[in-house]
Amino acid sequence: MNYFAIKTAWRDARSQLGSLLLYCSGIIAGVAALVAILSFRADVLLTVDEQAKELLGADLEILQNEDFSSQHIAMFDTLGGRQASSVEFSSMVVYGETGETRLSQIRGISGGFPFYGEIKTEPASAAASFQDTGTALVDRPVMRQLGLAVGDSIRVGNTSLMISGKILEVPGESAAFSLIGPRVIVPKETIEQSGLLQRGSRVQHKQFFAFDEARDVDALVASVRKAEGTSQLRFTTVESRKNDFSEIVDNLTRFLGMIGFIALLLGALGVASAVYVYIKRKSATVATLRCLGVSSGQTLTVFAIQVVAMGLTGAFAGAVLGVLIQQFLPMLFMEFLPFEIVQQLSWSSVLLGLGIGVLVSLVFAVLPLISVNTIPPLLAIRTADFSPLAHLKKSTFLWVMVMALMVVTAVLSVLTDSLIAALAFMGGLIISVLLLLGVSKLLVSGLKKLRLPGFSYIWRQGVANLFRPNNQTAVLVTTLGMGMLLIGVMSISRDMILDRIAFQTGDDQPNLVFYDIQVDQNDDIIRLAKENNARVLQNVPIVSMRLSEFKGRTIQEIRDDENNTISGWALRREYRVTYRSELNEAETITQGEWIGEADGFDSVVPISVGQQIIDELGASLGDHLVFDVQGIPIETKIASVREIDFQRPEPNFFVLFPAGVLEPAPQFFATVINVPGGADEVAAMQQAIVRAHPNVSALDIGLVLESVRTFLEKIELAVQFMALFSVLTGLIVLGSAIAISRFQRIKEAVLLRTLGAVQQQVSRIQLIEYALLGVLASLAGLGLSLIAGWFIAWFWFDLAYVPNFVSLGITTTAIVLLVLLVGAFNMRRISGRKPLEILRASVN
Amino acid sequence: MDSNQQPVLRVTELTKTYTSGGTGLTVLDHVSFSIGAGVSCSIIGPSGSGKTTLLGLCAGLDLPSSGSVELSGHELGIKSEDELARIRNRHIGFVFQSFQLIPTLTAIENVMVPVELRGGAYEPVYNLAKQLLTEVGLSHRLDHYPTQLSGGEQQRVAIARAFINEPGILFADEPTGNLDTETGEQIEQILFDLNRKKGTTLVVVTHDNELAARCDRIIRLKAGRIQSDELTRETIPAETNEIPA
Ligand SMILES: Nc1ncnc2c1ncn2[C@@H]1O[C@H](COP(=O)(O)OP(=O)(O)O)[C@@H](O)[C@H]1O
Ligand SMILES: [Mg+2]
Repeated sequence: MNYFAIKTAWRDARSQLGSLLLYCSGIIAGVAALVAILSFRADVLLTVDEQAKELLGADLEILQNEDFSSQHIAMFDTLGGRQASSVEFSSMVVYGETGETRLSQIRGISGGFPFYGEIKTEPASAAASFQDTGTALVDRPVMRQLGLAVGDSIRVGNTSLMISGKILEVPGESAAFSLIGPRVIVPKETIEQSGLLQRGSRVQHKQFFAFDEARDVDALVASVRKAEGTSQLRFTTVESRKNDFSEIVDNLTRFLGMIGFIALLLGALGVASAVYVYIKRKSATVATLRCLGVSSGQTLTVFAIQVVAMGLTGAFAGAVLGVLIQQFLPMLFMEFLPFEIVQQLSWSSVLLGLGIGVLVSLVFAVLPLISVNTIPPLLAIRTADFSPLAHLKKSTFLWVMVMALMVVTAVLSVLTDSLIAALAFMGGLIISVLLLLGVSKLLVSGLKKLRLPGFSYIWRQGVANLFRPNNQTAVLVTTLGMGMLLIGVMSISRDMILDRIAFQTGDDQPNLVFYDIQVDQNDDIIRLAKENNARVLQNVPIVSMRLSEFKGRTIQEIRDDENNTISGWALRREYRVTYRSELNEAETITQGEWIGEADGFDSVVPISVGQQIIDELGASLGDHLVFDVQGIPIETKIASVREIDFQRPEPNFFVLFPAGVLEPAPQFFATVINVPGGADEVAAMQQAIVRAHPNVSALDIGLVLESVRTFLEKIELAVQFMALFSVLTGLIVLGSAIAISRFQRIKEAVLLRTLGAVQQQVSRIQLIEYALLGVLASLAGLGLSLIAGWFIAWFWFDLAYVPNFVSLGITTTAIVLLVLLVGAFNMRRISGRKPLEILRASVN
Repeated sequence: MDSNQQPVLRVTELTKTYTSGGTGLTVLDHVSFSIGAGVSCSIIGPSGSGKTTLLGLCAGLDLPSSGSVELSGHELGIKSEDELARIRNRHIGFVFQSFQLIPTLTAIENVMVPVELRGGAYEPVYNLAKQLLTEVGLSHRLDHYPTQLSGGEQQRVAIARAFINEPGILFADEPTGNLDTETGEQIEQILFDLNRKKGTTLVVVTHDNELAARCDRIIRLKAGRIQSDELTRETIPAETNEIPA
């Protein structure tokens, strides 16, 4: 082994261990983010493994969207094991004395479900006894919101029940479930008596099974499937539920992991930049060593050893930090996880994070490292400002860059388990880094030109300081700007999603939607609405049907075909269809011709189909579809294709029939109204209608929006948390850059003092420098995120883009303040230096 | 002239002791002298004899262990750091061995700094700096950065900077120490020319005997004490240039 190199590396490093440590700290935040998210994933998957049965609550669940037939029930009997059943649907529930109503998720349970895990209630005994006592369990959030207590009553359909318990936890469901609507659990019999099931609600019927360990559930499912043939039964086993869940967790952690990876890359960029400045400063030493006859291989080894040691130290510190952070991550996701996470030190995650950290920082450091060999021995006798990188051969430069990118992409594709994702990510990242670098160069040079005589000396000196040799201004602006970019894009996307669904609240904008209205109730509801000064904006009939044939083949034939590429969703879904003679404002015909009137269903019916279904089915104009309308087949032909603006809150339909066909079919109505006034008026209106017609469901659009906003904010919090690591990296890199230039800064400060600057002037100059740096970084990041936001708005949401300048402004201010804080911390160490040092300072 | 009556710099019983690790090192030991206006004085002595320390104390860059420094009528010992900075700004010019230009400013901007620190208006300062740079022969290098200038050129910029405030006294610590002989001689020439033209008092620390001989007066330091103090010319009024017996 090369003894000389190791010894020299150590001797050379020991006097500056402190600053070397600082240089490598750039990757700490990135490695920490990576280790934390990898460990978190390991924890969640471990928990899923351990509690797989609780996720489903049974060994097997069989589901159907209509009541099980007597043949089904007979078949269930033959399967054996312990069994339970449930019906689940959404309906209005009237809560308490005041009669507040909410569209709620109701489930009626009969039997010992869940077989694994338990429904947690307060009092705890309620979960076990509600079926015997004929009482209800009600979700905690709605009880708190409406001020309800155990002992109060609720009304479901025509039936009143006492609340015997508050739902704290349902196995397999996260707290976020409540955002969709309050959960209410009642005995199944009650539902059957409530009269709700007959009146058009969409109901899921489930049968649950618990078997002995020995039973092969997969084989059982296979045989039942075969026997049942074309039926609509859906099967969920512990294994399939676990896989579904793991996939979601994988996707989530992969996404967050990528954001963490950005922090790591930025950190590595910072480290590379620090290594370069370090080497540049060492030029004279290197030249001297070369003069003394040290070979280029040996000098390279000396620095390589130092850099590897730095990378290892930084990555190690990051791993430790990551393990600590991981303890707190579950808090961010608590509401999305259906269980408490079992935490464990996942060595594989720690090692993976550590390894990736070291590898990535080394890969980035290769370029500055090999530039060591361009330092000529001549530099030992002639001091000059020498830039090693500029003397590297162009081809070497390019080669190393390409190799580095390939290694990083490879690492990422291992991490995300997808080469395409890695390539897309790297592509996006390279573009944004290049853009950021470009923008920061532009801003910096713009600023340089801006040294106007009109500004005070303090300002001009502050600006000039940004161009201090080896100051890394562009790299700093890039790393800090990237953090800003991530946060900016996230907040912009959230705003846009909200905008997209935040249908303006105006006089003619709908704020209450009723559906599941029976034919005989329709007139009364319209009358009630008008009596209460509400305006009826839309009143549409809805007929539900299923696809039975597509292009001459039955759905079963298509699904059995191994080469089938048509989405099962589009083939099997229940189509809710309306009929009318006119198009509405949200619809535009893109192909074919809209035919508004038809003559019964004896001839082929010309229908209009939404673009999305056309895509899913792979259908085209003129294709024939046969729909099964509650037992009656109706043959149709795609006469036109529509683009539908789903941004509107009123009911929209993928499939639209002309008038004159469906009128006699069994149907129900949906009614969209505008209630003048505020939330109270809307609630009163809703109560009045639900009291008169308990089966009718109501959607308060204000409340829905609130739920969506809450949900998005929770997701955003998680993403912002990860983006914060990039900001953190930026600040650390800034700290180390300041440390590198510390001597230079002290010299400048002392020199200014010697020339007669008072302390305040010296401080102000530095403050201006840091503030400018923060502003530049924010501007670069903000500018790019605005452009990104505009692109997203244009391509994705198809909206005009209005950025939320307030929230972006707050982020900008925060970043500038953080930069100032780091700067001020450093200034503390500079002031208080005696000016005399300037006289003794050696040439440097 | 009136100012000839009053010494620009009066140093009385100046002592500086550094304590490191319990042991005290007396670098300056009861040094006294005064220098009148317009006089050029060199301080010479072997390396480590305390020249730089003395210069630093005279310019208020450090505080003495005992004794006092009076500069242009200001008693330095009783001033705060910021008051000292203002005094340096108004009354003192500096030329350093290692030039000490601000790397982020161009030549002319470097020259302007002392006046700008006082809040001088841009235009007149710029013109003054330009004129000074012309006087030191750098009229064509105004917008160059220090790294783009040779050592001699950097030192010329530093000299222009030292004179821009028309200081009463100029301290130079081995101004030619980092330069080759020929360039050093040019710098000396510029320094003495400007000194004569502006009537500034000049204190030059050097170990170059030739440079010392060009001054009106030579103070020889050895181990922190004044070993000799002699006039090279007879024209200087004795009372403001007391030579201790
Ligand atoms: N901060 C300090 N602490 C201890 N000793 C010092 C310090 N600064 C200077 N000295 C010592 O004071 C002596 C005089 O230094 P200096 O004035 O720089 O000498 P010269 O300029 O004549 O070469 C030297 O021996 C030096 O080591
Ligand atoms: Mg000295």
